Amino acid sequence: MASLDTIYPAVPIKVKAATNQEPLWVRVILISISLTFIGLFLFLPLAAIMTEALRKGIGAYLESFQDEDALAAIKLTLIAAAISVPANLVFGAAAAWALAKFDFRGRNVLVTLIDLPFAVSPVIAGLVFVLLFGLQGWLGPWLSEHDIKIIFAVPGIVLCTIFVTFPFVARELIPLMQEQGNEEEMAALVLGASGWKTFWRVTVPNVKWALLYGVILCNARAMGEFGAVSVVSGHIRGKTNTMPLHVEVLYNEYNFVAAFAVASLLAMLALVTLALKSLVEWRMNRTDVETIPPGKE
Amino acid sequence: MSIAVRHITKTFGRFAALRDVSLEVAAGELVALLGPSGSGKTTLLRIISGLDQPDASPDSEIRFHEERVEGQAVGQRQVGFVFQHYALFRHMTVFENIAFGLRVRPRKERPSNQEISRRVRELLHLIQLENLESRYPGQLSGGQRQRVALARALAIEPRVLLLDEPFGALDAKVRQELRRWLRRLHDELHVTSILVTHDQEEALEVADRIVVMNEGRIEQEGTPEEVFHQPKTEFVINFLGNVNLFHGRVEQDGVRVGPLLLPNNHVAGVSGQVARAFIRPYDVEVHRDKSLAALPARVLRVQSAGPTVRLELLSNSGDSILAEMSHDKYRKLNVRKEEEVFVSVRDARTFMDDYVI
Repeated sequence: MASLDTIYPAVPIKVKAATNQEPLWVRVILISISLTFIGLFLFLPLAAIMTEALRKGIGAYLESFQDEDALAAIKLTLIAAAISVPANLVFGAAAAWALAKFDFRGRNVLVTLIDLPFAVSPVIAGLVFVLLFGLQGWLGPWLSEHDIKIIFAVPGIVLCTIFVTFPFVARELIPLMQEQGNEEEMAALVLGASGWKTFWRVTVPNVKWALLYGVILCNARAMGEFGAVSVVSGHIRGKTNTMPLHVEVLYNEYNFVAAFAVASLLAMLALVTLALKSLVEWRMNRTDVETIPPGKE
Repeated sequence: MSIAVRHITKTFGRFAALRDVSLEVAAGELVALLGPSGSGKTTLLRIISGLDQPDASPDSEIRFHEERVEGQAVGQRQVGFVFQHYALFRHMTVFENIAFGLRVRPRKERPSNQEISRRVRELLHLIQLENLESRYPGQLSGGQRQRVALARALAIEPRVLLLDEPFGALDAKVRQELRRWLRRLHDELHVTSILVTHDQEEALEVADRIVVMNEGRIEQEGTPEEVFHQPKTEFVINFLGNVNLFHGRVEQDGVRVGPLLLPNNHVAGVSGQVARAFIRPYDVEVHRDKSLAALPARVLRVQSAGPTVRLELLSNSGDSILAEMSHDKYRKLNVRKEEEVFVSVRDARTFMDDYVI
């Protein structure tokens, strides 16, 4: 290890020097392009949301949340997230554990399947659930016989949300767990720890930041999901409208203040997510820095 | 606590990692399993620990001091296991790493916090890292990490200590220091230990007894002196250090290789049979004066940096020969590259295929 360092110490320094040697005008142009871009596509819409929401004053803004339908939409969004995030937390951890610590037939298929929701358009995902559980769908007749409503009801919304947010936790955990291997778990088992204690005392603490990171992203997506949920919800005001759907309904009714007021909540959620995400990233990096590569004296 | 392993076979798919291996380790002994990678030594160690299971067989058994342990799960066997890459818990301090085995015990058997503290401090003293107890593994050097791993394994008062290439990931110098330290520690604690290594020097220096393994079988067992000086198979002599190989034929009073007549240590052997003679570099004698019973050769390379001087020679028949001598002797001999010399042999081990009539 030490010998590697002595052979290649100059490389990172060289790279750094090269970037600093770019002429000033190149740097100015690059920086201003990216700043303009961020301003136009990120900052401006955010500002627009807040201005529109507050156009008729803070009173009207706050009044938008007194509306029963708005409250119902907020509640439904929270319920959908409260079910789908824990579900995907358990599923993601189990899948990552299985993929990282065991070698089994069909492993690669599972890896690909986990990514499927990223590859499929959310609208298609919603349609699949309609095809499965809708009145004319495969399971529709059986469901209606037993008086179970999934499509155009809360269960459908939750299912769609779970499907769409399915990869987030697993994706964060798999590479980390693969990198860490299972030697620490084996060491714990040899020392007499049960499988349960090994999981809680060794595996979970080793991945806790990645886990949290995945949960934050998963939650943001769960609350903001539009396409898939839109297909299965049926847009029943006060019953099956989530926040993003409610924004659309209000907007189509020319109720701009209320629409942007609800939208501003989603925007704030995004900002909080970003802040949490940066915090977690910072923590993850810090634990990395503390680690000297093994074998080094 | 003695260890007895009998008739263990282990296959991975179609690859036979262990073929009917039996091994006894006496209480308090330090045994080295020595072999190249793929020889099955680590598999055997993991089977003893319980991390791996042998193939099911009616006569296979593993005993710790006469108690059969095959049925016991890895955690119940009370073994200390030291991994090549330390496998320390990266999110715990040194103190907590060592305390882990005590803390995870069921409530009834768990020592009190003061007792755990006392034991951990004792072990920290033993591994000479008292002042680093609140560091994280990532903040330690490789040698320090491996000492912590050892202390963690010892904390549960293991019945046997199993070490899987414990020094394999360390620099040469640290490795040497650490293995001497391990030997002293073993003399102090007398815990029955099995050390897996592919480094013959390490095995020869540390172990009471060496078990040489190859292709899932035990080639030879014995003290370091026995396996080094009386290797039973060609594999063993080849694996334990540099050796020259000559092909010759059996004669009445030895094995004939060109002008050389080597002592035949094989009782069997029929005149005219093909034999292979293995000669350690330090048993090769190099002279300047021509004699009939010596092999003429040319000096290809002289390497004198080290405790001995090594000469690479090429015989007139085209065989390359490695010779080793003291610096003193080398000065007296006074040869240079490309010079002509004569080679005789002090001692050799000869092997031949079993003669089938």
